[in-house]
Amino acid sequence: MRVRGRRGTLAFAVLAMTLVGCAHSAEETAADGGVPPAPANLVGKVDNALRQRFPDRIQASGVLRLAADPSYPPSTFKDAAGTIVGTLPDMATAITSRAGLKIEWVEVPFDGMLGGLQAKRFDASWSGWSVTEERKQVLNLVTYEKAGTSALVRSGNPAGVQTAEDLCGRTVSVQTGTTQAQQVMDELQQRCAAAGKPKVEVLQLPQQTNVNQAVATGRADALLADNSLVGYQARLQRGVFQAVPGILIQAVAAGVAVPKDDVQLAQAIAAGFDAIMADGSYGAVLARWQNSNAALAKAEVNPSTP
Amino acid sequence: MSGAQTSVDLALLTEISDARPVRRRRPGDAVLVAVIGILAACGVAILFTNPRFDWPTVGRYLFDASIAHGIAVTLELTVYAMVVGIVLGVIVAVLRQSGSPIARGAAWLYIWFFRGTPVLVQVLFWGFASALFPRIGLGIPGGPMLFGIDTNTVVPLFAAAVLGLGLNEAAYMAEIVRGGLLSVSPGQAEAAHALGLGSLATLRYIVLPQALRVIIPPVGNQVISMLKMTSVVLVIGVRDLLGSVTEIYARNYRQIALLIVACVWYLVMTSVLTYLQSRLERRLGKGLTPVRSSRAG
Repeated sequence: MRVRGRRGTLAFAVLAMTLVGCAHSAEETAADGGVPPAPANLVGKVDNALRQRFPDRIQASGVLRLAADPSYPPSTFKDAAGTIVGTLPDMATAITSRAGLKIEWVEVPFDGMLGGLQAKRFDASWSGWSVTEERKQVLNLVTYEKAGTSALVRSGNPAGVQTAEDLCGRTVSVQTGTTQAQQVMDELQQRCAAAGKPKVEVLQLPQQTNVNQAVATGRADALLADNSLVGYQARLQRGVFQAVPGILIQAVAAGVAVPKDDVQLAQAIAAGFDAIMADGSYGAVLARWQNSNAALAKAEVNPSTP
Repeated sequence: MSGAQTSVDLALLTEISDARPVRRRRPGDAVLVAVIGILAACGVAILFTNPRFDWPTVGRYLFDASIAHGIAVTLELTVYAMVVGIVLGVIVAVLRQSGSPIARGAAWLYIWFFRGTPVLVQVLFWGFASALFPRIGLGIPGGPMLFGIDTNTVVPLFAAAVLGLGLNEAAYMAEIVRGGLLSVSPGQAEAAHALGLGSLATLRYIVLPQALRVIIPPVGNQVISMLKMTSVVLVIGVRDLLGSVTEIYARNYRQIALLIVACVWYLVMTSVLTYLQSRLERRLGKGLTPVRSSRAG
């Protein structure tokens, strides 16, 4: 029975693929909505200099306890097997393998992380904290990427969108009420005017699903959304969408959080990010999750906010 | 009938004709008037005393340029969708009455599909039709396409909105027209045929004019209903009155005030349509409906 059921599913999947193929001439199959393969340089050789930057207690135990809220793909989520995966876990793997440490994940919802850090229930909150003045008062934030607005276009980028100014004169879809429909679009229109280019044709839709559909069906040349969402859509429907790496509007740095009194750990983690940025594994991780436009050149502890 | 009786009747008639009509006393009326009066006063008081209505914002946006543009789009959509609906509806209704079972079946199928699915879904479908048919053109079914044009070029978003609303409307209109055609006695058409008129001429000169009397009142309803139904097109990003309003309150968060602006304009437009509908009905109903003015004069 089981085998027959599987065969039925397979036949259905093949049928579904054929249909998708007709509609979008997708190279990717619909069945592969899961996790893309890990880059070869994710796990690196142990670098003793990096290891020695970590506090003694962590070197002694050999374990880095990291808090994760695996509910936010592609940043941190669980794959079908229940393993915590995503951009941040990849970066943790890259850093700890080079520092000769092991990761111990502690699952904590984001709103419980500040209390958990102060109670020292884990060493660091391995989540995306946007850098603000208030947070810097109580935490050490180690920046690892830029968050912001980026553009999603149809697979193959038929309109040839490379930079934000390439959107001038084109139809761009945004969800009504979002920052993209307002501040970001205002900034983009100003940039088009400054460049002497025509205005962006804005297609505002009330639902993000229909914003995506507008790009998939060619009603709009691109959509603007949070860069993590753009990366996620691009990864989930690789035959339909792709992210534009060259566009990141109104960027804000995001960092992982370490208790205020653990400056040594914050600096060690920053050194870890710098190491993986230098050897290319950081870039490979961002590329794996289609989020290359989030790349930072250097990790910083508590950078100044714009 | 004797003479004496007649004289008594005459006296009675004289008395009756002198009598003034006296309104029957209804003690309940006073209570009803009081209750309605109090409720109305409360309603008016709430309108003026609750600052959350935010009348200054309502006033500021009532004649805003983007609201005016939205009203124009709403009216255009209503007119185009109703034209599509009426023309197609008459055709489907006539096919539904036709002698050919294939034509009857096709008309039935049309009504079954377009009346049986939500108009919102139909609008979404037309808006994103190219997900299903990336190109529209001539070709061999199952084989190569001889030539084709990008669906989005053939069906711009505004046209998609008109199609979504109009094709759905046609299904309802077909049933209304069919009801009107059935209300004309078959003897009329038989008589026309006997006089040598062809089917089309019979329909045009004999049946449709008589059916119109039955058709017009529900069509007026449909127009008013369509005026409001056009607001669903905001799901595909056509900026009608409601679309303009939502875009403004997404920025300034004055949702209630702006929804009131929309309501004011929808009410103004439906009031005008209601008036036009009653004028049209009176004109078409000449000689059949009781003429009210005779009682007053």
